[in-house]
Amino acid sequence: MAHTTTANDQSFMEKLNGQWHERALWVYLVIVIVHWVEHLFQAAQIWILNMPRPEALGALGYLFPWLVKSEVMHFTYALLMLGGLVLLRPGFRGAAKSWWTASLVIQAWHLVEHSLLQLQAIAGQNLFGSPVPTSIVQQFVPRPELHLLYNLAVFVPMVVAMWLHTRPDQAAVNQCTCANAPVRLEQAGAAGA
Amino acid sequence: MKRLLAGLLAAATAMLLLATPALAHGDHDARPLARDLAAGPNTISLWQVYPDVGAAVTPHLIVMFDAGTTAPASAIVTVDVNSTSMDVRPSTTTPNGWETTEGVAEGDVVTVTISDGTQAWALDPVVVPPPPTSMLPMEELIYVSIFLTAGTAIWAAGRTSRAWRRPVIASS
Repeated sequence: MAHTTTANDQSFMEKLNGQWHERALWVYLVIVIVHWVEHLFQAAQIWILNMPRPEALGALGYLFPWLVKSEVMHFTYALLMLGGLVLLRPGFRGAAKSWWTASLVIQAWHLVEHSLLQLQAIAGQNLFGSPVPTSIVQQFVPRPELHLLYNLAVFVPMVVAMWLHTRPDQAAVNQCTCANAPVRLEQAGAAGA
Repeated sequence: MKRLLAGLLAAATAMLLLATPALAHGDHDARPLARDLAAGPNTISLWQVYPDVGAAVTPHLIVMFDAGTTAPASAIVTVDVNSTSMDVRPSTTTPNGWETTEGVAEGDVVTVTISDGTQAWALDPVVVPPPPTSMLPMEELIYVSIFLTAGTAIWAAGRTSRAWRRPVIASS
């Protein structure tokens, strides 16, 4: 016997990965791109413009230097990023889900590294005898390179997953509207969107 | 599963609330120049780290007392760079360290002397090595990343506007 679920019966997660998935996904990607551009801007200042590292604060860092220096801010963003990857994952299918999961795993490790930094800032004791908070992989790769690579390693599989998820042939398997054909303007107007 | 998630969220919130105002040296690396140096009863390590202010283009030198969480109260630290005395103060960010007020550059010869008021121990001179070079072709990596990001941003803009034109209809 077929079971029909009405909108009111759906949980938050079902709605998020169903009717809200498309909008939630794109809002999430915009937030990720803004953060990633800041990292890229800082990297360009260091390696292309050869600016001294204390002066390479990214774009927003010029106006609000604490943005770059605040470990709380970096930790909060890493946490929100992981939250988005976890919450939006059930809406993906097949290969798209595998790529999204890869991004999630890398971000989980990235958060572990930020948690270590945060714990050292709280405890006032640093690992490996360092005068400043430090993380595990930072022992081998300098911090600006490392976090640029972490963000790149999260960003690329995430974009691949979204591209796979939004291909027209996925419309039949998705529970969301992400892969549906675009709505023409007159249709959107008629629907009041 | 719900309990695990609630626990993780509570732990993360606690980590945010407990965090003291960040006094660490920005998001910069500290580079060890020399470790496990004996200066009488003290074990010393020398580090380089960029200060938080943007004026210094070379990283400061930190003289760290490795045992304990604070530098001995009686310790007097003097630093000579290329035989010229440099101003040194207790570090505001490293409780068990003293920090130069100016940066030291590649090739500088640093001589540190630790004294307890009655005795003094001079450490062997240390030559500041060149800054570490990246293992990756960073410039090329950045250009590729900029290209990829620009393409993604254009794609995202189009798809976001498409998503907002589509009415949200509950799935059944």
